[in-house]
Amino acid sequence: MANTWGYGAMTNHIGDMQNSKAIIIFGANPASNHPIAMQHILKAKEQNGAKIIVIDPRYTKTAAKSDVYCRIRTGTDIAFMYGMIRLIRDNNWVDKSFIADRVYGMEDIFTECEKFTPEHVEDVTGCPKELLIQATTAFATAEPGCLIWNQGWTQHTIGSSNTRLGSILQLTLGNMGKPGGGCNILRGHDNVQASTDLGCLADTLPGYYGLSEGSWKYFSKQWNVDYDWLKGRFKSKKMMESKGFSLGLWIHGVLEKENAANNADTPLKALVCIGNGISTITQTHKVKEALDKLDLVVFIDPFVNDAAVITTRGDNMFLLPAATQVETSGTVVNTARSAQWRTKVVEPLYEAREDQEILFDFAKRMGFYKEYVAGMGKGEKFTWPEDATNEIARSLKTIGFQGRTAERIKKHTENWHLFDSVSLKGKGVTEKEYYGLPWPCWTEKHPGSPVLYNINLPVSQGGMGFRNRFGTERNGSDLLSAKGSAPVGSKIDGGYAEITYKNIEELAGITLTAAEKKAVEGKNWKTDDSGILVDKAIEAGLAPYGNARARTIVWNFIDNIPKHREPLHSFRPDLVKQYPAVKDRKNHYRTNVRYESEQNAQEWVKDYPINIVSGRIVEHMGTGTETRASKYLAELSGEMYGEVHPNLAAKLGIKDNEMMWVYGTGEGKIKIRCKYSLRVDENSVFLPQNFSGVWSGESLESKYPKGTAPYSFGESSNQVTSYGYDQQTSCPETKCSLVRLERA
Amino acid sequence: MNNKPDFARMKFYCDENLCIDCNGCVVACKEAHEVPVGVNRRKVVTINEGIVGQEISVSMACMHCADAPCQQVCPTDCFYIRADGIVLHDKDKCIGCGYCLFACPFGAPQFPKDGAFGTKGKMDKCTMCAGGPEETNSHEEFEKYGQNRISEGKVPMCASMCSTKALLVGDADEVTLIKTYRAVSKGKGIATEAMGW
Amino acid sequence: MENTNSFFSRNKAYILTLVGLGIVGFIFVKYMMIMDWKYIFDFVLSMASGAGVAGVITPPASGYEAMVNTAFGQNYEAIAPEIIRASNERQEYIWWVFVGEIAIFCVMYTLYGRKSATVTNPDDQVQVFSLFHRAIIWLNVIIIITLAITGFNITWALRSGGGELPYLLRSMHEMTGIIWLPFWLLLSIIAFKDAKLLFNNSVINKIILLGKYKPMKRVIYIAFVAMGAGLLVSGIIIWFLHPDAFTHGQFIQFKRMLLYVHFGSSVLIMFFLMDFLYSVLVSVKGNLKGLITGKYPREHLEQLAPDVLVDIENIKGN
Repeated sequence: MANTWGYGAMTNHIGDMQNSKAIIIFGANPASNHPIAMQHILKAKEQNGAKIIVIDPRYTKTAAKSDVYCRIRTGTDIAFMYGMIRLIRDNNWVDKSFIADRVYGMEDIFTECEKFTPEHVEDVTGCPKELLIQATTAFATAEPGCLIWNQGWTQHTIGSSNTRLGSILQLTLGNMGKPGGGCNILRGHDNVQASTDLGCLADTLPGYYGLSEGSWKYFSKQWNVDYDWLKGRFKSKKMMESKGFSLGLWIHGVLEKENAANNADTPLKALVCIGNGISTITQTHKVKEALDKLDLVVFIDPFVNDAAVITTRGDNMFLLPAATQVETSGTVVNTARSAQWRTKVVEPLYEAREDQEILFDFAKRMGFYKEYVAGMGKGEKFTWPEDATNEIARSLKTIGFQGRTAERIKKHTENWHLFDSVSLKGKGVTEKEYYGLPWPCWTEKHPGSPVLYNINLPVSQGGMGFRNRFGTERNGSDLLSAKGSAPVGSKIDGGYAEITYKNIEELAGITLTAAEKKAVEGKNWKTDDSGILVDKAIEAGLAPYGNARARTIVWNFIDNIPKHREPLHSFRPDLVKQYPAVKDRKNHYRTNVRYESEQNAQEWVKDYPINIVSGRIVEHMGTGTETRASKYLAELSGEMYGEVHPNLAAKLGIKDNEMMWVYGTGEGKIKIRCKYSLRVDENSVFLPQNFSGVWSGESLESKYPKGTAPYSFGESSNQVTSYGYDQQTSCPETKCSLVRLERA
Repeated sequence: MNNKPDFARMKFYCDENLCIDCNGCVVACKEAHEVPVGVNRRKVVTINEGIVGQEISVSMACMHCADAPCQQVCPTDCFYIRADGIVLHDKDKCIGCGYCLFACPFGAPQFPKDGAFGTKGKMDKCTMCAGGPEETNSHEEFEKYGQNRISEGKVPMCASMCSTKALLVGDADEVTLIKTYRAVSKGKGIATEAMGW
Repeated sequence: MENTNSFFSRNKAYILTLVGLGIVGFIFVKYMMIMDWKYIFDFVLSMASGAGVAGVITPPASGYEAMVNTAFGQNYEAIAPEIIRASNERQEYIWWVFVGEIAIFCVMYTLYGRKSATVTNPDDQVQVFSLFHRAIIWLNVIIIITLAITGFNITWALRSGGGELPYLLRSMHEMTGIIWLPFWLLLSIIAFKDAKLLFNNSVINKIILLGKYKPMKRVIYIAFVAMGAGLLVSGIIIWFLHPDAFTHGQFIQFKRMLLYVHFGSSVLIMFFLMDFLYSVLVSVKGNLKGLITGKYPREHLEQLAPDVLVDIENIKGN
């Protein structure tokens, strides 16, 4: 999404869904994964008359509440969406003025969609064409409509294309920038948005500043450390500015010699893992191998990380108990970009220590504590977490964190009851502010921006156009938005570039004083510590990041426009020729990743004829390390199973509740209970991803330190998921794997 | 609405259009009252699972019937029905015979397997968070029956935790009003507060 | 009794029993029960043809009906209210039925008195009950008394007011019931005196109790076997099918039916057992001692149970 219109985050917010007249859900299951958010979807359905449309390989609990349900083969979302776009084009449901004003490159999309006739879509996806037409009609004719997705889209080799095409679909219908519309990615954890905002990613500094020299220099200044000192911590400037290994790919940095060349000629030697996630990537047996091979492994977690018990290494593995969220204070940022304060309720129990204490301790022992805390500007006499929150606010200008000081966030959380959950508007002491100051919140006076890209509001009230991030023109076409398309009250009635010291006077129609000029010399809205550029821009009704068109073409991506490609292990080898995977990539997050060669290595579906559909079940979270240690949740869902259609099970000779072996395309295999279910079709098996503690039929309970084992164990579904990573983001392809089932 | 407690008649209502089988009510109840594993005061029943267009879920527990069959059959007469309609029982009198389970149309009475010789223990069921005959909010009451939220003016745990507010509990007139409001406002383009109706 | 050879007088026991049960049964079913008999009949048929025990005879016509079936079992009105009635109203009547039965025995005692044998030669003892036989009989006696007391403890708990002791007695009822199974089976086998009429081999002669059945005793035996089987099967299944909290609806209807069988069998077996006690201990003197020692004076047998002596001869002869 960031590559389409500037920011990669949920564009509207959760309560806003009550304003939708149609909600289409791809690759997400809010009834199981976001039960509280589901209430808004149901209110939209009941009270607002919204149509709920679910596109999913499995008839989930969310689908049970839908008005239209389309079952598609895993990994065929792009084909389905192009089918929708073609129908939208042919039925004239396109929002022509929106596209003319605010979108670049739509013609290429309308060309690409031509071959996705309803019949062809039925062939590729398996969804009857009548349902495609019904779903498209319901969604396109309702106004506004919002689109929900989550990991059902991102965890594919073409995940990045999925999310782009979803965004494009909403642009086609003009559903962006309005309440009730938007792209609502319901992310999984209450703070995962902040984890990416703060750069817990392999390819950027905090705030999505990237890894260029300019960004490093900016952050050295923010952190009050010397740039050269910081550079000296890295092997070379080249490595400093290179994308690192990602969560999906780190194992290949350990196991495959060839990747050392991408990593300054060394394999990975140590792993420090804070929180769970190691066992959520594909090919757990490779994870085990990697863990066994490392020189040092450290887990920092309140519960015993399930990766700690799959490894058979003898030495140099450390478990450091960390505090949970009730044992510490700080900010969290939800999927809708709002910040909330969390207050410590109890001192850390047992030997647990708060995460920051552990990291400070490391910094002290490694000799850079002084530099580590310098950014808060108080030397070693800082107040945690308020000073850290303010440092973040000050530094993350790209996403407009400046207004989210500790004081303002606390005030909102303490006055939670004063906010309206559908509009997020506050009352009383929080009047005119939006709950949690959803970013971008440009200044300390700014109320936050609950609905992104809304040009019906002035910038000072949370309005804005699309971000100018990709230049101002391309191939002769203007990338800035058209005349007449600008936030309310804008000095410029049309598009403009992002604000820099060079163009501020001209765009805002002002003259800076000499002192102001000196303060902003050489800076732009992302790097100006004085705040002058942002202030002047907002005074003139201009969004600091410019006012541009969203683009459907991403010229630095392998697929300029989203294209359907069959999964690496495809259920339909006949379609692989027409829709092949991309060529193998070298140095993709420091790893040489196979695409085409993996897809063509063999006709996978011959030996592994069944699709995996994997997902979360409502009783458990993540890998279940925490939830399986709760006795009631373990009682509700205590055993790993696979949902199999009775007809398929009959063909395989497996009775309901019998054990079965599931063999993956790698060397992994798991022994789980077969549960008859009509939720899946006859070619699929649904595997919950929340279990661990059993390794191919053997229980790992004895590996847990005494008294720390959870109440229930199960096989991890990732033992049988396949090799495959998104071609741009390296997110593992857990949603498209093939397996073989056999009666145990 | 009539706010006099004398006239209240407590009822459960679960709207199957909103129930998403999240089991939040089940776990909330078990946690709040520290119910032993194997006993579910509340359960979610899902039928036609996986059948497109027909899957329905509803959350059920003791319905606190006005003509409670459990109370009619109990050989030790251990049940008592409060003026507001909540059906409670005395575990000290209960002999664990199971007649109440046979008579109940909803399967509300549950028996932990902790009686003598591994047989049925004392009957346990949803108390609508109104405790039991022991002194209100005492330690004994909590040990035997769980929390007494009604005495503190709080909504029973299950309904307070319901993700989608499918489960409502309260005075029958109030609950009816909410359901009427929902029916009348259907499709009218109204937006309402979270965690409310 | 004159005219001891008419059809009526030979089969008096059977006829009176059937007529008595028939009249009482008719009054109960027609006027005092609210069971849906057609449903019961269909339910049993459907179970016999393999449809399972959920009691769903007619398939649900709507999602709502399907939900009712899953959650409560189908057709609550058919059986459950009857159980409620049986529990509350008719347990009072049972008390009066037993009082009535005892009254009849008092009348009979007044009319016919107590038979006893004149024993001139008390040392001439005949072995009638082996140690094996006595063990089985006495164990059954103890178990049945325990079951009766603990069973009535449950039904008549209003009088006990509940509490810890009745709670333990109820647990004891379930455990004792399970223990009874092998002993009931053994007693049913050894008391099957008619087997000697049907087969004639030495093994059977050794296992089975001595003597021949007179009609009333045969009726009591049949009642013991049938009602005992009813009690055991229904009781053990009810105990075994402990409902887990989520699948209550699957067999609650079946369990209700079994509970009703249990109640009915328990009343009838009590009725016949009281009859048995009267006929062997009250209306005849001297039977108890032999049940402990295993031996009876020959004259006692000659006068009161000549069929036993005949049997002993037959066995010796083979």
